[in-house]
Amino acid sequence: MSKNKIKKFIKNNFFVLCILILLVLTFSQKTDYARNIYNILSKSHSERFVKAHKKNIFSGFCKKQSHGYIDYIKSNFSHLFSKETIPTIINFDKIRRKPYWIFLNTKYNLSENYFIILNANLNEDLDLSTYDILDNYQNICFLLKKND
Amino acid sequence: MTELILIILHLFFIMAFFSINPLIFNKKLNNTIATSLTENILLNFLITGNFILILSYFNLNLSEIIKFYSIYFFGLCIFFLKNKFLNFSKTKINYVFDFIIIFLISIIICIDISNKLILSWDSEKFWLYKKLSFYNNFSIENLKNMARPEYPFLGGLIGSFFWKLSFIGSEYASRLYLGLVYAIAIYSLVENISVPKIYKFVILFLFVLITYDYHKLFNGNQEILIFSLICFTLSSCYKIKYNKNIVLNFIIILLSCNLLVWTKQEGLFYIFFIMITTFFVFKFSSKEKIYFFILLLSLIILRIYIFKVYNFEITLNKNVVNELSFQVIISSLDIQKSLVILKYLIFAIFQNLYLLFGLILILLNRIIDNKTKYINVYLLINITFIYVVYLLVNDADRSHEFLLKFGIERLLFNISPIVILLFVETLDKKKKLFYKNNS
Repeated sequence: MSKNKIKKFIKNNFFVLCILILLVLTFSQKTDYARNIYNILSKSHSERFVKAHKKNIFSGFCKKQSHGYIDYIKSNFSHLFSKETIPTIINFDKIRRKPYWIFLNTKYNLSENYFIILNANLNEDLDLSTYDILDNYQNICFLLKKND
Repeated sequence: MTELILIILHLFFIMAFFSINPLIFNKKLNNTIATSLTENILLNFLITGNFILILSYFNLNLSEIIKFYSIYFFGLCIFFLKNKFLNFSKTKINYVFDFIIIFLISIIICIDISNKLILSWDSEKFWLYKKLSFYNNFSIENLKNMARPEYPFLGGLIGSFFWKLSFIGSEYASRLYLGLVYAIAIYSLVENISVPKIYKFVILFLFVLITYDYHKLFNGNQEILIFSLICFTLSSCYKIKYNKNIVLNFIIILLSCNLLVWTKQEGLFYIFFIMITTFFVFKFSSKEKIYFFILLLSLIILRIYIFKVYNFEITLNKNVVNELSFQVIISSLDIQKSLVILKYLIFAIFQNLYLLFGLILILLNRIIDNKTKYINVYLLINITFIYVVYLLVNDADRSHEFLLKFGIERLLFNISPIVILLFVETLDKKKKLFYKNNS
């Protein structure tokens, strides 16, 4: 397409083109395009995952299903687990599900040495004396290792 | 930065490969049937979906399926390079405009998917585990160990297929292709309007704008696939009605119907609703009607057979509809229940601008006496279906109102491509009338 043809096309369709551009921009705004790009450029997948689940109605960073905390453990303590053996999740908020899918495996063994404890504030009798605390988030969520 | 580039590359490669005309294998067909970019992409998607689905019947894992698929991939690329690439004519410049606009919509959606990252309740509970099972190289047999093995698995299979081929290791890579399929699905219907291309793009953006919602469409649920497949079939119905590439569109309907059967339980019903609608747009002889019916029935029988082979439970949604005896059906016909369904049906339509637009469009068509018999038939069957489903629903764990509140909008969305088709039909009829009056 030559330059003249493009000029002619824009002149003839100026009004429709403006509407089209307006629609593209409205759609971009609806999806929060600029913020999405900024987040992808500046944050890792794990950070974005944690942030997204803070607003999740059935989860949070360290409440309800605690997707954020589990993903944080997966990213920061990956050297402790293998793809086949993942830590056992214990959630004291009994009605919640345990999102083991975050480890992206379907055939796994639950570790007998490592435990992710969620919503520990709901259990006053929790005794951590036989465990090493590898991570502690506000005394509510923990990563524990069984003492040898 | 790398992740953004990988997302763009992921989408670009899928789109570029799917843009190749799959009829290129046959010189005669390739020369006689002119396909648009949308048709190329949707045909390639349907072929890919059916191809990997059929291979999965043989208990192959994803790596083996990809090996077989690569034969098709390289074949298509070689034929393309041999026949088309060097003859890329100026007339194909329209392809470039289509490509840019569809890529633009898809990339905006893909970027949204890769940042929002939240999965729905249902998706986390069972759909995702099917996907993970395939992704971890387990075959169809392993689905027995997952939640709800009686549910179809196509969404998980296709998702894991694109995930495995992707440069991105995170879960969202399995949902990026949906952005492209969604854009193509809407455009396949909008493309039928006989207006200049730029107007089509405006209409496309309007429909994308009014239907798009990450938390309803791209959070891992299967509704977006059903919506897209129904878009493909309705677009083909429309083309058949105006005698455009009848054989090709008939193939598109069949391929879409096969995928519908394997997407969700409702798909089993939807294919018959599509069949009845096709009878109204295409004048089949009684013999042809029987053949078509047998063909669709055989798709369902095949699914039942595969489920039997792998020992999956053959049932509709047993958690929601426990029993289908005559007595249960009679006892379900309750006026109180019917009124509650009507209430939520009206709520759902008025809460969703897109569905409300559909309702206004139907009323306007009534006023101007625009006859669209096949659309009315399709609507009537589907609304009756939704009504009957909710009359029969009997879930011990959740109340009837809870199920209506969270389910009816999804069922309405599944059948909502008819709104776009009604818009296309109305606009085209009015345009023809305008030209007729002026000439």
